[in-house]
Amino acid sequence: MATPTTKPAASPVGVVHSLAYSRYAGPRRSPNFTPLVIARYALMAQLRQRGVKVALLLGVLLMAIFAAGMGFKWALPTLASGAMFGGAQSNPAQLAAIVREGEADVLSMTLRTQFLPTFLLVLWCGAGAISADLMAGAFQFHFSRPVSPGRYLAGRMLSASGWSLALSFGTLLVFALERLAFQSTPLGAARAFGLGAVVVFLELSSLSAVALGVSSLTRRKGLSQAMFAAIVFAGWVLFRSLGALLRTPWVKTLDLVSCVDAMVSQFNGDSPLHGARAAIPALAWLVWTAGSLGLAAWRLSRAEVNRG
Amino acid sequence: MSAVLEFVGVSKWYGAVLGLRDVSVQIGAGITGLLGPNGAGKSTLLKCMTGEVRPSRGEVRMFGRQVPDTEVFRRLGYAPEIEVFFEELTGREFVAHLAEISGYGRAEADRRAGAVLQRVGLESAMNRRVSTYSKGMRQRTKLAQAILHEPEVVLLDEPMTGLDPLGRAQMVALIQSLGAEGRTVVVSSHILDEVEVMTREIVVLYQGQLLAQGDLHAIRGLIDRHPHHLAIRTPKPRELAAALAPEAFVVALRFEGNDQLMVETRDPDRCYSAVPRIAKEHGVPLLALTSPDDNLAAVFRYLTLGARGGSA
Amino acid sequence: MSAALSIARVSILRAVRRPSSWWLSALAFLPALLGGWLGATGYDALSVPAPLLVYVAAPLLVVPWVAGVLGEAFERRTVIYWFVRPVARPTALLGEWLGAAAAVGTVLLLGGAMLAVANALTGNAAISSLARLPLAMFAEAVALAGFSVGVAAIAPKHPVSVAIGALAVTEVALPSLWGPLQGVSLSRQVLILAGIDAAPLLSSLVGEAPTPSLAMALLVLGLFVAIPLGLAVRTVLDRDL
Repeated sequence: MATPTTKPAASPVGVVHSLAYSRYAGPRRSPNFTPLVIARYALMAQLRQRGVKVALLLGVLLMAIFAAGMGFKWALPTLASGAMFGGAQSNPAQLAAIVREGEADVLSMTLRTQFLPTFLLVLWCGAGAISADLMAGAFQFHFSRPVSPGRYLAGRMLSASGWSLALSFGTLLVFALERLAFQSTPLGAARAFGLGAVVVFLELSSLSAVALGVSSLTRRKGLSQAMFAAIVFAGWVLFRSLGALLRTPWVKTLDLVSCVDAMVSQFNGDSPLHGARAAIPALAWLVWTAGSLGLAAWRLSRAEVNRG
Repeated sequence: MSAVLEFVGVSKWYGAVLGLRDVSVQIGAGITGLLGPNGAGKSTLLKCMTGEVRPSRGEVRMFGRQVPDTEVFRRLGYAPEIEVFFEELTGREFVAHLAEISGYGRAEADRRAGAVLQRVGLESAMNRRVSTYSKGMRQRTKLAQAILHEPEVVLLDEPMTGLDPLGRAQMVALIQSLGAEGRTVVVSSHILDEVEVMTREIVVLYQGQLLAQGDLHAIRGLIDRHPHHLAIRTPKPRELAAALAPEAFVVALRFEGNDQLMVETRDPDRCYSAVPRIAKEHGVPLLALTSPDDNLAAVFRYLTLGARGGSA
Repeated sequence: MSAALSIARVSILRAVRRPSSWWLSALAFLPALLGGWLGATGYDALSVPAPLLVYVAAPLLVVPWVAGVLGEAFERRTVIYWFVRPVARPTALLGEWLGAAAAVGTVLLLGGAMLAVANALTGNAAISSLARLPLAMFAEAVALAGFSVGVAAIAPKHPVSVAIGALAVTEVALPSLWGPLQGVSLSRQVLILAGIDAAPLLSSLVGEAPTPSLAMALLVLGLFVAIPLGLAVRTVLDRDL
């Protein structure tokens, strides 16, 4: 088996008194697997919590409702224009517009369909994750082993977003299949799926990074969850209202949720931001994500049980 | 004795897990030790007494009234096994607050808090926040809040946990004084010796069942009649067996596999000190020396066998 | 009743000594600062900060303050110190609610008052707003405190996330589905009590608003307290701790 191995440390120096002791010299997994191990067990544990099950159920329900809605929306004009099943009287320009609109829908509707379940899952699985470990003293279990803060953080990041990722990709896949069935060519459906995947990645990475960032600040799980919710909702209300009040569209794209929405508009070609300002949503996303991860990494590097 | 506390056919399930199985027991005035290994059901039994958990079947009565009952709570003091309080309060504020909840006016509550904290030896720390307390101080605070309202029944869940030897001695003296005042005191513990210094009256639980109730020394005598076991791992078990066979403390020898010798003895203390010396004299290396009896579970196994009239 | 008052008094004392309470309190005053800045630069000092205070700052101040702390008390079983004394379990919940409502009510009343003053100082305030906004904030605090106590007793393991999840549904998800569902939004009703017309802004965020009604506002506030607290009383009476 091609399991990566790490080089064993040099033999211990000095006298080993226990006659029964012999050091394990077999293959060991690479430390790069650590995040996956942390995430796997965390995801397993999360699935045993009632709240996670409810959020997943809500996500599946919303996926079914929106899939049905979008199916109607995409199927009806196609049927009307006679394009479906190789109809002859289709208008190519009209059809192209319908197809473009449909592909734009895939990106925005994937986010919209799963926003509430995603928020709840990241709130539940991410915003309290490091706090709960701090409260329970679980750092000792991680950091008394060859686990670096970076790998621990990567594991927590995966576990914070794992179930939301499954829901969002499920929704995206259903939408892409519907596109394929009703309007798109395989290439068009694949393009919509690919862009959707990017958008899902952008949304989940920023949300889970911020959740972990605030979670690293306190050992009170409830407080960190409230801080996360404050950043999501207060940012959303504040920047959207300020943007409207000041009549400056780019201000509306500064919060955690809207920066990804703005990038979706850019992917769909209907963004009001042009020139240098077009980079603002991406910059905002980068600041939220990298800033939060940096904060969490810094907090973890200062944790007392960390071997430094 | 007249029963203050009475369990009638009490069973408790936590989902599929059995906490208590058909326990019927009566507890009277004086100190009673509630013994059992971890998971035996001691805390569940105490929680049934305080109304924290409701029995799935059966009844718990205190002073003839079914718990939970407000009138019973006036006469009950309870120190749970948890070590957390309202951490933002000082010890005095915490105890005074609970005195107020018990029905005293503010001035009286404060006076009682001061007095009871003094009684448990916390007079110098009573105005410090609880968050700064050590484990031992927390145990005393728990006892203080349990006895501040002069209850007739005092339930103490693992009160010795975290105490140093001096603290243990002081706690034992305090508990003994409560018993001497004629109260009904129930002390749970998984350490036999700890209870032995406080009382002779014990209730033994194991896997949710009532295993024994009565005089500790009688029960202990039953245990001591059974031989103890010592498992020795060595690459030369036969040479060691030959060396140990003439010793008076050895009752029987048995080989288990190629590298383990099981010694039965009625004098475990002598056996523990002699085995390494004899092994060294005969050039036999020892890999491990363990006793499968060295825990309360083994004691309870003996008790079960004794109750069935078996012998080990 | 004296037991409930003692619990309330201790609840306030503990909140005052908890550093997180002070950090959370800051949330109540940020909208006033924003209002002052907007007013000074010639914009409306209320239209953005008031919804921010009502929709976001107040719930996020009250929920961790009340639900977080009480949930922890259930989870770490410190409530047992109350429950083995001659006091009915619902009385303990009542005491917690009274204490929490007084503490967060004071903070939000001050936050609302500061915003009203900022609005008045920038010259576009009706005198009624000076009283109505702080009083509406106090009412919101009382309702949210009751809601949080209820949620903490019902779901003590995850009180904050359950409370925030429930509020995300009533305050954002349902109103954005269909305008008339803004009727179930506590924050919308508080804005009505405060006499603030935030309809243009809210319609851009969560959809068209129903016609304001004072009676409806009071009813929704009452239900926000009554439903979770009623369920909580049933739960703590029946549940093993």
